[in-house]
Amino acid sequence: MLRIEGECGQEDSRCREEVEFVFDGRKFKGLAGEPIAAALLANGVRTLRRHEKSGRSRGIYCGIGHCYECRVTVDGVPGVRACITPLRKDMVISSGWERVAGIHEN
Amino acid sequence: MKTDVAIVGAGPAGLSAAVFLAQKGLGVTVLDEYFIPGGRLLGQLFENPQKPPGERLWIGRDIAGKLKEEACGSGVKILTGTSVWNIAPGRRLYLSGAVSGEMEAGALLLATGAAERAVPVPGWTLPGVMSVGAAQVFTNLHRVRPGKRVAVVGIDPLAISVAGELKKAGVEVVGIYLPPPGVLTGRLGMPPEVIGSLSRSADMSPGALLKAAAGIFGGRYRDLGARLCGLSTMKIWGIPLHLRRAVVRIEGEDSVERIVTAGVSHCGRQQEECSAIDVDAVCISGGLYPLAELASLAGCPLVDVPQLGGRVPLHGPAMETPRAGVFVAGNITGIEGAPVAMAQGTLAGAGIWSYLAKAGKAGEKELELAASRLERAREEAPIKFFQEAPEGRKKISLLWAGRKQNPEGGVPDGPQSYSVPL
Repeated sequence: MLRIEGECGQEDSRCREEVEFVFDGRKFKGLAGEPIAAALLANGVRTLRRHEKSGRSRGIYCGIGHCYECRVTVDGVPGVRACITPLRKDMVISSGWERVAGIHEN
Repeated sequence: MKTDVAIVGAGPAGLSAAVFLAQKGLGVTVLDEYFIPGGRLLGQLFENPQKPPGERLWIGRDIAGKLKEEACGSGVKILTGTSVWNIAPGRRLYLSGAVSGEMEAGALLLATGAAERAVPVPGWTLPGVMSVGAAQVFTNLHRVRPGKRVAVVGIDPLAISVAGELKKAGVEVVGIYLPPPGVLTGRLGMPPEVIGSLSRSADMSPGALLKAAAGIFGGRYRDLGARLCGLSTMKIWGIPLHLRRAVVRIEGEDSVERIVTAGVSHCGRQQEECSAIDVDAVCISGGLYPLAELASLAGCPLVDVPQLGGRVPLHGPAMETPRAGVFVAGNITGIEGAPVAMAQGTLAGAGIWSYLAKAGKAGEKELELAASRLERAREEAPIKFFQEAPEGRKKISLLWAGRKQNPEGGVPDGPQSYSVPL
């Protein structure tokens, strides 16, 4: 279990509401207001997307919205950075991966 | 949208400036990409043994919260989740995110802070590999561990501090290692360099142990220290610190499963590989650099000052840039700790107030007071990222003075960047 229990995160996580959300078709639980990336990490989900060309897995890197490695699709909006976007109830998140046509692997 | 003052960055510098300016009666809008104000303060959690007991614990999250309360109480508007993606002449900001559109500002403060230098390690794109800064924010702020068994790559004060924080949070930290030797990691992977920089920055180390260790390796004997095989490994808070071992590869199918390490000679050459070590996460540290892209977009000249951590906008004593009404504060002007950034923010606030309100003598008085407080904050700083920073700042002020005397020659006003031989 990666979530640290019994201690508060920002604005006292113990008081924060537990909410359900969907990632790539699976149901998960997270805390409302934590970054999507934190909610997924707490559930043991590290792969947030796949590289558009190679299909290789990608996850959190910089954690401050700078590197764009963690981009996911949230409620139909693509290119959302999971590390700086707070989780809300019933969010539907997907890694939104499809190989980009016309690009061939080296 | 219009505002008297737009501040980019809701970290210690930006919020401190905002409080000062709002209390002077100006309309202030603070913009930040993150969804919580506080910037890098948010992840900070450490002890300063130099302070009296009771004041030793630095909880960045709480300090950020207080600054935010003070700002909001003074009438500052904070727009979080909002990115500034361009700045056009006339201090016109282009926004996207929670708030999008354009914003025109009477004065602009760029307090964008710093970012972490990327250190490429083979396998570093695998999920489970993250920067130490990310590990810090996820652990200390969001209270989610990056992994159960973690290796730290990069030996510097931030990396060592975060390793200790991870251990405190119940993570098994298998060790702190050098980055792989090579052209891309440069001097970061050279044992004598590593030991030298550690000993220079030991003032900031959160534990007396590191200070003692820096004493062993430090000073004139740093090269000798690295040669001594017996001292190639030491322990900090029970975590092995490998001064002569580098992570050369991170392996795994779909996420991190193990690291492969190798010995490093005292001149930084890779030696034999060792058997793999199982981990489920790797945290990489390459140090911080000033985040100056927006200053460049705003037309501010940038100066390359390695003693301050990278390219910084040229600026004067009131934190003004050559672009009218554009000011800078915090780590965009060089890598320093949060208390210094806060003092710089207040100084920039005084500068902006003088500029906008034509405050005259009263403005000069505020500037003087803020400048002396900044000096004190620097003296008292528990964290000294760059020992030669005063040299770097001197270079900036000389360039600034030279530019004023001779606006035709020397330093161009445009967004070019240029190197200064130091």
